[in-house]
Amino acid sequence: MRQIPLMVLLLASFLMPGCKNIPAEVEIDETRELNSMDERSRLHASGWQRFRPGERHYVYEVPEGWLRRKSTQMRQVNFGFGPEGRGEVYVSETRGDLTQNVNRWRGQFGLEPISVGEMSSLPRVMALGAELALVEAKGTFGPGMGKDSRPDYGLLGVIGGTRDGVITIKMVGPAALVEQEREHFLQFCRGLALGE
Amino acid sequence: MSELSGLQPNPIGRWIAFGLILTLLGGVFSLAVKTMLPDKEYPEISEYEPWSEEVIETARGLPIHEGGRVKPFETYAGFTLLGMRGDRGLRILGEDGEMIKIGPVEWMLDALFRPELGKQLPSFRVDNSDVFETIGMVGKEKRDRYSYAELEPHLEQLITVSTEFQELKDQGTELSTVQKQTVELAYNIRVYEQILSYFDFARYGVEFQGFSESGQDDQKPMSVTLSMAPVLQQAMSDVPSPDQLPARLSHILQQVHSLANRSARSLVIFPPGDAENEQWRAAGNLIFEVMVTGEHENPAQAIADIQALEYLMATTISEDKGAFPVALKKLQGNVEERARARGEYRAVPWELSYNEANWFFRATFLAFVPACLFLVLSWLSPKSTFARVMTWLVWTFSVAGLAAIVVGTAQRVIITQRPPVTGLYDTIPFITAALIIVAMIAELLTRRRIAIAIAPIVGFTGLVIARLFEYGDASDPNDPLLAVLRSNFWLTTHVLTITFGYAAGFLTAAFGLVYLFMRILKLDGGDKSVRRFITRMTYGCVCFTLFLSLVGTVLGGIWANYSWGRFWGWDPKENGALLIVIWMLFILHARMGGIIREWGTNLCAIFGAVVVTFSWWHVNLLGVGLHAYGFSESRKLAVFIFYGMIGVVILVGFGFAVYDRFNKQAKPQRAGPEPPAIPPETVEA
Amino acid sequence: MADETESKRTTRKKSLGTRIVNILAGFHIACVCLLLLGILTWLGTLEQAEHTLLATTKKYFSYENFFLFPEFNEKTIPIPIPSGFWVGLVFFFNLLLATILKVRRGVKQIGVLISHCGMLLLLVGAFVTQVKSERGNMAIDEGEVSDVAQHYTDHVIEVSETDEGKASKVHIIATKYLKDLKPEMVRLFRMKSLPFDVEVNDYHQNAMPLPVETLDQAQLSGVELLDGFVLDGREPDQKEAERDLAGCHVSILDKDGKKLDRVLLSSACVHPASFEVGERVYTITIRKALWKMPFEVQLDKFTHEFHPGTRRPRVFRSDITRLEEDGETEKVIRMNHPMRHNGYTFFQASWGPQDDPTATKFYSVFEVVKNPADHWPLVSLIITGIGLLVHFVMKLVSFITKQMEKNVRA
Repeated sequence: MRQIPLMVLLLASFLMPGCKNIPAEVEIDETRELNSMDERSRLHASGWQRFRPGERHYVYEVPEGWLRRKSTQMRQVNFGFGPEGRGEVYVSETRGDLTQNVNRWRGQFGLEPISVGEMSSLPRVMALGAELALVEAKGTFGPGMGKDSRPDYGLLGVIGGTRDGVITIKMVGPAALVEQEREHFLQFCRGLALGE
Repeated sequence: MSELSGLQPNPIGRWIAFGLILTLLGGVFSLAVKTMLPDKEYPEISEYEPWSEEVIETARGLPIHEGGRVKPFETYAGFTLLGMRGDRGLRILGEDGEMIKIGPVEWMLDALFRPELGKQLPSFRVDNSDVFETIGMVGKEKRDRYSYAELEPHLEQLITVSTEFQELKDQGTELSTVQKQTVELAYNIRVYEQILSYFDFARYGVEFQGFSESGQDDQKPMSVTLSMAPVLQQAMSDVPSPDQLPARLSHILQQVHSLANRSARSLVIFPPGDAENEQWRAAGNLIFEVMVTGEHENPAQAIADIQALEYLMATTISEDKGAFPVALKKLQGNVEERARARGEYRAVPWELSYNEANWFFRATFLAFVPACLFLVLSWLSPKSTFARVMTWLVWTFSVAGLAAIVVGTAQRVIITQRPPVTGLYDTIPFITAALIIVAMIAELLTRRRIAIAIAPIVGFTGLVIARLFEYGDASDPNDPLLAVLRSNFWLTTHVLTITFGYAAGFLTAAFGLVYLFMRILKLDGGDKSVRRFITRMTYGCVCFTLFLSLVGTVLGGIWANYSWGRFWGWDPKENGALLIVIWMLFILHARMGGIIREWGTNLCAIFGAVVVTFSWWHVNLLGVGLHAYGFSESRKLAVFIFYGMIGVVILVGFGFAVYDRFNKQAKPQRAGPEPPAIPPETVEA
Repeated sequence: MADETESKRTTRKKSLGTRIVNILAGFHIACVCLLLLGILTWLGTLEQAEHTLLATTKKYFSYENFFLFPEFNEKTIPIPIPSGFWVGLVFFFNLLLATILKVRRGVKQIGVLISHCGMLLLLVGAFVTQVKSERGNMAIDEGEVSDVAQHYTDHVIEVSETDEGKASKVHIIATKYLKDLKPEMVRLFRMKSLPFDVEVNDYHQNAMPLPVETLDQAQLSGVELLDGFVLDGREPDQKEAERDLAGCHVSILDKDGKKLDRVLLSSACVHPASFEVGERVYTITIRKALWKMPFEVQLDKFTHEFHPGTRRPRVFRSDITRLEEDGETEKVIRMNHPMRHNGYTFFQASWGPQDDPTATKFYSVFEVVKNPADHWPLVSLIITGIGLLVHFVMKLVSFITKQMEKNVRA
């Protein structure tokens, strides 16, 4: 007989831990001592500086109507625009010299290559904080690498050299669409900068 | 047995027991013989000339640095061949069809110095003909040996396929058996190729283009090329990167690079000049450091070493047949001298004698097999003079076998300068020896010719298991340990105690089995005192096992706590040892509480074998934690078969015990002296 | 008559109480406990191969559950088994009672008695270790000094006041307030001595911050983009809980609940996020909880060696200087040879950079442990060993004497 209340007590104590209260508001008063790690923190660190320190990245504003695409190994910043996303704009880091790349683009449109001397006579626009060469082309776009040729396409490209290589900003799409987005493209280039 | 009650032991039971033991011994014997089966056919290599005794004797003692220690060439060759072929020698048919035996030393000499012959030797074991399908080759039957030459046309595909499999494995997919064997074959091929190509630098030399005015190309020996190192170093420092060297220099550099790569493994026989440095070098390292990095501390010595190797190679194709042995001896003497100067030669002669003595092999086949034979013979007519003579022979041969194990283990301790048990392989001969010693002591104390039966059976089985393990693992158990296991005192005490604990656990199970078979086959003749005696032995062993396992487990925890900060890390091996402790505690307390009695104690003791096997073998197969230094699935299968056998035995015993109990309750008590009833708490509490 | 019945009742009452104590101290409970502990250990060992050690130990041996359902071959078995902690507790009391009762049985039991005491000490030590020990991770670059270790798995949120570009006071939102958070939950932390409050939502036990460039437009809808980054929740690591890096979104609210700022926090960061309230700059971050040492450790040199010609580790050695108020001491910490000082033990745990063969500057990682019951297992072992040895020797002597008598008689 005496055992019953004992058992009830035991049983109750078993069930107690089952109900835990999760408060929605908590008051915080706890602090800690400073330590050697605190000396190493930086104030006003940007997202890149906090999460990917040392990695090369770009800052820019996204023009209206440009839809994001996943970056790839070749395309660090990648967008698409226009109906069926036929237009594409991307920032790419590559090797080689400026003339080689320009001529590669020209070759994709079936144009004759230009010489290093002729490079200097290309128009300049502001991008990445400097005056960089602007390349324009129109015609049938044959990207090579097994992709079909597309007639009536246009290209706007900006190319500049840095210490570790070449950066290109390239827009390709149906000629009329490219013409439409020209101002957006130039705006984008002006605002594009290398992040710290 | 007991003369008091006048009851006779059951003859049918004895014959059944006899038959069972014969089957067990036969099974173990067939497993042992499996590792020594000859090939189904021997390849014919009529131009093969065996190496002379002189050469073999010189070569086997060449000090070589491998697996982190200095060992004789013979050991290195032995384990390499074992890993590739699955045994330690091969046979071919020579001129006129006579059989030629080729040991590991000769095999490796062929690969190094006579690759055209080496490639024809059946060096590679391929267990499963399905492997050939993956590389597009038509194989012979299952389980056969193949030569490099036979596999050569398919090597490209083998590499492609095995790379794919390796990538799959890296992504976490479980490979099928055939895939694993393909990867293993590719690995073995690579190892063999590194041996084949070792002397390429001496065979081909370096091509010099564009150095002479006439435009003639010139082939110069490597040693001469190496003396040009300062010139090359200067040229390399003059240009910003190596690809901008003048063409004729970069041509040389490329060749040197490639030849150095081909001789960077296998014969690591050149000790460094300074005492601080521990890193021995192979020919390729010498070439690389003199020519490419310019970092060798004594280029003159390095060039002299390369010259010695070139000369050695040259003698193999010279007309003078006596030149090679002399050159080889000179090289061996040179390396030995340098190793001695560094104090690294000490263990080599010991190891040569250890290899030659082949203690465990001799113990198995020259001591324990005859001992088992004598044991079986002694049962044919018990209590006769013949039986007594046989038993005496069992004693003699078992002692000889035990002595061989002990001497072999002692030699290993001298060679490695480590305690006798530091890896999974070591536990097997150790436990075998421990069980034999205990069996002998038990026999001396009890003199019933029961305990001594255990000695040869355990000796034979244990050493065969050791042999199977060695052949399956195919790696040198004497190579040094991981950093994590390096503190000798705690390591020794913990591992030895636990290993003794495993032995004790098996002994406990053995006594349980003796009781079970004695009861079922009615060998005791209904004599209760015999039953009680055996049970007392079982119980005593339980206490002994408990003591050893508990002390060993806690020692392991203390070792872990002092070394790594964790007393108990829930490592599977630790858990396994704990399970043994818990099970023994259970038997102890259940007996004291009267929950189990005679049958119960003995059946639980038999289950102890399962618990010990789980801790000793099964946890290694789970592949998690610090203790996971084991290997393959044939072992998992063996473990489960063992579990199954024990399970069946326990079930049979349990059934018999229940049946017996039932019978006892139904029938009235038999005539004969009945011992007074003893309350459970006071029985051996 | 009445006296007899009275005494009978007293005898019966007594025997009921005695009976209960006898059962509690008895062999049956001991055997049941042993069997359960054995089954738990066995199943736990098998399950550990599939799941993290931490998760399995928690499931099988923490005091938070009373029962558990084991897994076998990745299938959950619907048979409940009592949890290890509670079985251990019952076993402890069973052992304690039995030891106390045994004292009355006499000298013959002395060995068993001693070993039982040893085991009790071990169990108590295990309990103390479970409850009172702390451990953490300290990584130091060569030439640098550190006085702090990081907890392995517990995350905290730190809000710091700053002064002249450096943290001046650090407020902590402790692990216990974050542990139970799920991504769909919101919790408001009222910071008592700060002019703002912190509201946490989207808390993930394991998450990575990804730059927006790695997403495409479709993925962007429904995720929050902060400072060019998006928080990508992941599955908690199945093998090692230490690898989980917590992440969440935080709103800085003023005392009236108005949103002042919004920040993405991730444990995978090198710097905190900064924000301004009023004229002052504050930082906020989430990280593994920090544990300050009463002394500093300076890593002078780190050496690692492999067995010559192999990739098998042979020596890992850190030469350090311990900096305290009353002076400096040079010490060596190596694999298997930790440094014990002031109740703290430093073990050589890891090093880096391991994937860069050309590296010349290294960092060393120590495991720091503080365990008041550090030496208890050794003491307990000695006591138990002595007890068992005494008992065993007594038994063996009596057995041999009996056998010798039998042999003589036969």
